[in-house]
Amino acid sequence: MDAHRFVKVKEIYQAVLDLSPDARESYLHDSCGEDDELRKEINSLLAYENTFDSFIDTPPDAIAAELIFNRNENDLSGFDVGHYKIITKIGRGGMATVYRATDKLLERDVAVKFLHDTIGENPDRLYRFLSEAKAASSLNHPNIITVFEVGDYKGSNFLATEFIAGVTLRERLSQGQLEVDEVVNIAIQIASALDAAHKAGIIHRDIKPENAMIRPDGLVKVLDFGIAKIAGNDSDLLPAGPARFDTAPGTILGTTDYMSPEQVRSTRITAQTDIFSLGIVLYEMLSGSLPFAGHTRSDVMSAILLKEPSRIEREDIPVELLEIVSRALRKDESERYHSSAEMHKDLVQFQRDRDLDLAIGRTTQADASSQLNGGIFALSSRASLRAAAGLFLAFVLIGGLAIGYWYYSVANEGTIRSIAVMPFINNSDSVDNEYFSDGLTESLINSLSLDPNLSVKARSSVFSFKGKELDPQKIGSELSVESVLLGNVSQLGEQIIISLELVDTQTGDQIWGKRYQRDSTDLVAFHREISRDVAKKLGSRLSINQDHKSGKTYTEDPDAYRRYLKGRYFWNRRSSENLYKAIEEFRAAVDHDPNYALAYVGLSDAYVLLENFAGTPSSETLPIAKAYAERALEIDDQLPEAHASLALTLHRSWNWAEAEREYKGAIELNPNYATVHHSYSLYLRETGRLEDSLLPAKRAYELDPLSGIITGNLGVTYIALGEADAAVELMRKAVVFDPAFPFGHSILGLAYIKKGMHAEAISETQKGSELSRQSGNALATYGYALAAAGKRIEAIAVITELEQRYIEKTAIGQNIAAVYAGLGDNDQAFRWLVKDLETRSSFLPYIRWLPAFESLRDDPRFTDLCRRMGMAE
Amino acid sequence: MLEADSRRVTLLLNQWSDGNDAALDELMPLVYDELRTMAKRYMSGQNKGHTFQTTELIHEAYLKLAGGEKKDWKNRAHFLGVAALAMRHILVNYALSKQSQKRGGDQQKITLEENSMVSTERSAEIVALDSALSDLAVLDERASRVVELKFFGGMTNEETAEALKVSTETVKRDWHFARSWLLRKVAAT
Repeated sequence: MDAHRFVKVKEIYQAVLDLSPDARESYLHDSCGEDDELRKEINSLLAYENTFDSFIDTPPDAIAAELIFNRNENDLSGFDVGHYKIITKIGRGGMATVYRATDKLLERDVAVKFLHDTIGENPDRLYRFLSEAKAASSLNHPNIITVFEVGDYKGSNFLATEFIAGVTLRERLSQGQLEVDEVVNIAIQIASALDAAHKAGIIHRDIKPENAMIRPDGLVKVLDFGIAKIAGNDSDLLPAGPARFDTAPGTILGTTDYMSPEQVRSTRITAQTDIFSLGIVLYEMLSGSLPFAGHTRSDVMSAILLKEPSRIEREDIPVELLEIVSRALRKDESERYHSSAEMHKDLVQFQRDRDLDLAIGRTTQADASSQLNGGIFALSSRASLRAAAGLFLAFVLIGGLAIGYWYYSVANEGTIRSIAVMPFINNSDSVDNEYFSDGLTESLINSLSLDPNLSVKARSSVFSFKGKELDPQKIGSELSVESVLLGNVSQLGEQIIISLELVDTQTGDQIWGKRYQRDSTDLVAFHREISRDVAKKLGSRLSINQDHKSGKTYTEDPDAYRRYLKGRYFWNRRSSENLYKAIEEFRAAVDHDPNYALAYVGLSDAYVLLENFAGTPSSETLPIAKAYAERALEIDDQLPEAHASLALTLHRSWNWAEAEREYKGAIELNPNYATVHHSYSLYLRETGRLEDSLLPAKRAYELDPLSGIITGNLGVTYIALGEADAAVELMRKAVVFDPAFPFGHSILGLAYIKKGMHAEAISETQKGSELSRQSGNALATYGYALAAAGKRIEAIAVITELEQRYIEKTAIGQNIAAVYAGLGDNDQAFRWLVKDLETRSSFLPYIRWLPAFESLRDDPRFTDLCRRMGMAE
Repeated sequence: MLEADSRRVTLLLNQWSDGNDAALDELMPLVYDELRTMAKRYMSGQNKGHTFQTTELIHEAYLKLAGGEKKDWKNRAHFLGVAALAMRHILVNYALSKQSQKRGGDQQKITLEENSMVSTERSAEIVALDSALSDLAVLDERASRVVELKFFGGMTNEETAEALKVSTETVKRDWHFARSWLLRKVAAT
């Protein structure tokens, strides 16, 4: 309809309404004239005038209420439920809604599962379910989820269980076909859980892919023991059986897909019902589809009772495995596996045989073809081959060479993928042992982190726990590790005694423990022995390669080793004085053993920091730092720490191309070294690759989440990328964790400036400056915040202070330039930056990404500065 | 709500009523967020039986955002205008999400379970109305605003008149016409 016509329609329509019904017809006739279309149009509209109770007459309150009250029912995020802080909803099923939460008392992650109100209505069934859930949990089996508490909140029942960071088997299935080995691995773990439960007289009744969680390390946890009891699928209590499932569509409480024939028939249920369900799950994992499918529930149930599952069309599945599936899916209970132990045994046997096959290089494809060629004969020849292989393996094992195979099986048993080596506690009176215990901790971290398959938390993260009480489960959740290594050092005369304990952070159980007593003159061998033992317990490949990979890293000289450890002890407590002490110790170490590569790395690391902490001009320190890093590489060109140190000295010397090469080499040699990712992200930002710098900054943070420097670096990366909100969130957490950390407050302040929150920015940067005892950088950030907020007089006062510092060599030109830039005085800013250029201040490249210098970046003088630092455009 | 923020809201409202459309762009997210926050607070409400009204929600949001007790009638009307627009967005989005859930085969179970069947029809109507209303706005901006304010904002004729700076009579006439026009349009689709 064109606009003109519309206006006419509206006019006439409104005029008609003002008239009495009698007068309307004649008015319409007059005003429309010959235009029949117009009259029709008006009439069709008038037809709606007299409708009542159209949807438009009812306010959309109902739907608004639903929007809001649906949340009321379903989302408790943000609320406190007892001592649980509900974080977010992670799932909703027919029976319960599951939230991720934090246990505020024990400071651990938990899952809180709220049963839907309708489920909890029958107190008797509820009681039975709860007692069963508790009973299953009390089995304390690694493949059964642990229930911490059964509680009641405002009349709703909930279960608090361990939080499993992982995916359900259902989600895993939707991601694509599973490898045969993975299928078997999962099935073994479920069978093992069922075996434990069945032996305790507990039947699950609802085994299905939704009820198995897979952790990233491959550990499977079976959920919801007993929950089927209240879902109506419970012939012990009610004879209703399938009828209870035939409710209207949309009120589906459970699924028929994984039911056993006896469940469908509602006859007495035994442990074998779980075996049948596991058989269905196994079939689905292998084929990607259900053995008993149908369009309706009745079709499915009839298939379960009557149909044989179709063959799985997949060539890589050995017959033995198909036989296991088939025995689990027998409709007649007397033909089915009698116990889950039996099924578990067959699965394990199958896995073992398959491992042997793999070890001798036979492929499953070969199996398939031999089966095709001639049934029994092929199988028996295969069996004899296996026997021969076993014999062969026995020989090589004796010879100590079958390491590949040995590790293969260890890995299958569930290798630990992440660990935090906690600072060993020095129980002796000798302060001298303090650096030994710290040093030992650190060397263990370094050597373990060489294993690319193992995530080892970095030093600064674990050392933030030093002196605190060590609760493995708390550490586990805070640092996201599966295991912690705890150690105690004490001394008895000339003997050093070390007790080690490897603890599973999920369960708090000890995985391994050992007490060592060795002569204190033989620390090197002692250390090596401990590293080996730990690596071996972790199933790390490291224990084999370690000596080859870093053979020259260690020294055989106990005195050199002592001095090195002492040097690192001082180096980690960064201050001008401690850095000089560290240099002294490292020098003594190389005096004792001139081929001690790591001690040279220590020297390099100490010198590169001197400008920052002692104000020594970089022109004096960087060449020395570089020379020491190169010396270390002459001794061991595969030493990751040495490459990282060299990279940093090159980077700080503005030797961009070479620095990048070294960074990449260092990362390749040891992908778990947080410091190298950290420096590399700075490098990328300084060379203008802002977006690329986020990844290494994140990686460093992942490896060392509690390091203040690394967290701050991620924060400034976010700011530089314009993600001020992310920076605020991160840095707020960081300052809550460590309120005395100056850098954290300064970065948080910078983020606030970006958000235009000037009052907060001034307050945070001021805090940062005070805590750092007014370090040049922190004071400059405060000055910049003042300038950005338009507080000129205060900002200029800071400049005066900084100028004095500059003369004392405790501030650099860049600091003063930052405040001038904030005030919009670009000429002064450049004047001070040029001073830094003249002294080749190693921090000058920071202007490339520090927010204070943003306003200068379009100025040709800025481009010129970058060019003179050797940066590409 | 900080004093400064509520002053900001008032300022934006004034600017918007003076014809500055950019003010609305800034105002909208504030109101939207507030409505959502309040909805969340309702979520924690103890009395489920409480009859919920959009009007109530919007008026409460006004009190919170535009700074409480000052009885600035004109200002309030402008605010309600923005709130009605925000409410329209919120409700239509919700209705749309329900529609799309219904279409996604796999999610049917969840949808049916999570939401009552009753409101499914209602959400279809809301989506249809929203679309028809957008068509009407092209031809008759004012009439479409009248419907938006009255229907989504739950405003009275007087409030609507104040917000649109027209007479109550005009509001009534626009409403009658727009109502029929929209009902016919929805029925035709």
